Amino acid sequence: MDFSLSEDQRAIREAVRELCARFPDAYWRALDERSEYPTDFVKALTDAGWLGALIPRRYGGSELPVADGAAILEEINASGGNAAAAHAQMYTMGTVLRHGSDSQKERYLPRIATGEVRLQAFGVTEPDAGSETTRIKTTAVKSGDRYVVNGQKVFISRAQHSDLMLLLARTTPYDDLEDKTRGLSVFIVDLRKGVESGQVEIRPLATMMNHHSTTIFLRDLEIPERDRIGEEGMGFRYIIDSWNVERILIASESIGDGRWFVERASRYATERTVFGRPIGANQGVQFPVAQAHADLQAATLLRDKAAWLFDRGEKCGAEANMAKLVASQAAWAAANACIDTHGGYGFAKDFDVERKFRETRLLMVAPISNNLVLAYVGQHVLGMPRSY
Amino acid sequence: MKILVCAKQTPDSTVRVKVAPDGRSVDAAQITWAVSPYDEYAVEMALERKDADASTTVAVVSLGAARAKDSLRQALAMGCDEAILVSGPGAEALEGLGVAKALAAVAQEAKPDVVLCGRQASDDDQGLVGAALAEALGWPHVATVTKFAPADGGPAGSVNGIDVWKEVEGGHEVWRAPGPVVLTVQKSEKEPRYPSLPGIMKAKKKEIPEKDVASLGIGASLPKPEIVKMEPPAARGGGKIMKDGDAKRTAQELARLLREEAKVL
Ligand SMILES: Cc1cc2nc3c(=O)[nH]c(=O)nc-3n(C[C@H](O)[C@H](O)[C@H](O)COP(=O)(O)OP(=O)(O)OC[C@H]3O[C@@H](n4cnc5c(N)ncnc54)[C@H](O)[C@@H]3O)c2cc1C
Repeated sequence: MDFSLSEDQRAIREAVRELCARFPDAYWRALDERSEYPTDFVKALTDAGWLGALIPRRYGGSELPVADGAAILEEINASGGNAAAAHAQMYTMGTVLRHGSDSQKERYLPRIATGEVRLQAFGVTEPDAGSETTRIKTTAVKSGDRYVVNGQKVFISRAQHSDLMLLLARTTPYDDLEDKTRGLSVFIVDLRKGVESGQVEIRPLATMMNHHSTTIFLRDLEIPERDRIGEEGMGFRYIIDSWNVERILIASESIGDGRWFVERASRYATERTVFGRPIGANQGVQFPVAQAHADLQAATLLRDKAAWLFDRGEKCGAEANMAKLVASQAAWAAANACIDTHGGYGFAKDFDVERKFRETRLLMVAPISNNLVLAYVGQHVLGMPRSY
Repeated sequence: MKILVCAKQTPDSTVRVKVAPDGRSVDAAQITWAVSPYDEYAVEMALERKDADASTTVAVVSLGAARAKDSLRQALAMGCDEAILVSGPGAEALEGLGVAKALAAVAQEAKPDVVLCGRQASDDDQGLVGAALAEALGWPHVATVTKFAPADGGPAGSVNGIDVWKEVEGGHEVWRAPGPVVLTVQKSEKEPRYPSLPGIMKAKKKEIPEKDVASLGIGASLPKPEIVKMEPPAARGGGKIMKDGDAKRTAQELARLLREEAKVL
């Protein structure tokens, strides 16, 4: 067993850290204050090729293993930034890559690799279908060589900062299905054109963090048949296929957040003097930080194993899901230890702890709630009865 | 144009270093290594020339421990064409003049039009190697450089002297040096670029040849002054907060403290 980082892995982490160093706390703080998108940061990441990391070389990407994609996002969050603004450009293309036709791949992937085209919105969740994806109501009705789509999506991140959106829509009514995991299809939607023609309306949805979520209304949106990915009715399977990568990457952002909290907390605990000694000399302050660090190390090992399995082409559903679960929990424990360590200053915006605190909390709920991860582990890993 | 950049690997300036228990070195466990900041400007300056004229080639050389290869790899990822490591027993123990002689041997073989060095290294701040290198090569030297370009007039592809921009009090001067020349760099026009992912992928395929410092024939080295003691800066004392709400009284008290206690007025 070899846990050492290769020269490449060190170079990748080092280079991402260096890029992030030019976007310090104050940059993120100011954006958060104004709910602005980190345009300059995303441009720097794009120009340096980081978001094309997972795209095969023949389409202009760098064809890195998922383990390296994980390192990239981890370093961004560990630097104090928030990869959520751009992570989807890295992995949303996976559905096109695995299930798209050759002509779709030729058409989209090279331009996604350069960042000329942004594919970083994925429209799945609806007001009446969150955890239970197979209940979505947005319909895509075939009409000649196109589909006509109607429905509403909610919590769709970055839609205003993306040119394309992958859309999950119903092509067979729920009641007509024997197998409820069928009947859904995935489409590539040209958001700019849709907005221009009035067939797509995107409304910002303010959240606790600077996250650029939106509600999307689709009204008689016409999608050419050639923009359907893979077979009709197989969309849910295609989405499930992308989950493992997403879990591994989200776990990595959690680990990055956790590292940031532990680093800030241990530094502050060493510097802040109360009752004549550093607060970190008190076990009540020190132990939660140490515990969070240990938990993060454990989560990192599980994340690494999941990525290792994935990159070898082996089954990794259990590891990827569990990595997301324990990493998001460890990050949250680290966030609490950090805010406690900072006392009142944890709540002062200038210290950035409260911002990261808000940001990392999301990862326990989205893109999938940890309850559903536990349900997966209980049922599919341990063979207990289905709980939902 | 052919450019050779000399880049030293030093402790990363963003990492806080601690004095090791021996009291005369920094705690190696705390260190991450990086290209010294002025040398990074030199790399950027060379690459800016390459951006302006794609026929430019940029080689980078580092003398030091084997780990300096990581920093060379970094320079390749930024866009340098080739890298050379000068290492081996004794490399790290060389004093400034020895380093300059070793680099001169590399420069003589590489035959660049311009050699760039940072103005000083961030670890010892000696500022010796660039000037000594020019001396060892018998080439002209221009210091505190912020930009350079081939002088106009020569046939395409030839180097007909080098125009060199130099920072001086309140402005800049442009000097013209005959090539080849050694320039010590103050700052590049832009901040050093970061390595791109495609750059990293390309860099990892490149061989970094290693030269043994002993093979360069630099002769007897001068005795090296050694560090006998290192002290961290004194801990910052607590600040004083003046809580008297009255602006006039606060200002008077502040002026008194600055004059009598801080003695800065
Ligand atoms: C900031 C943000 C960004 C998002 N971005 C996107 C995006 O880009 N694209 C997209 O499609 N979606 C996005 N989402 C949506 C996200 O994926 C969903 O919010 C998430 O899957 C949960 O769905 P829900 O909100 O409908 O919760 P619900 O499904 O209503 O669940 C509510 C609670 O009940 C629990 N629960 C439900 N059923 C069970 C059960 N059987 N057993 C135990 N517990 C259960 C859940 O775990 C959860 O705690 C985003 C959400 C947020 C907050």
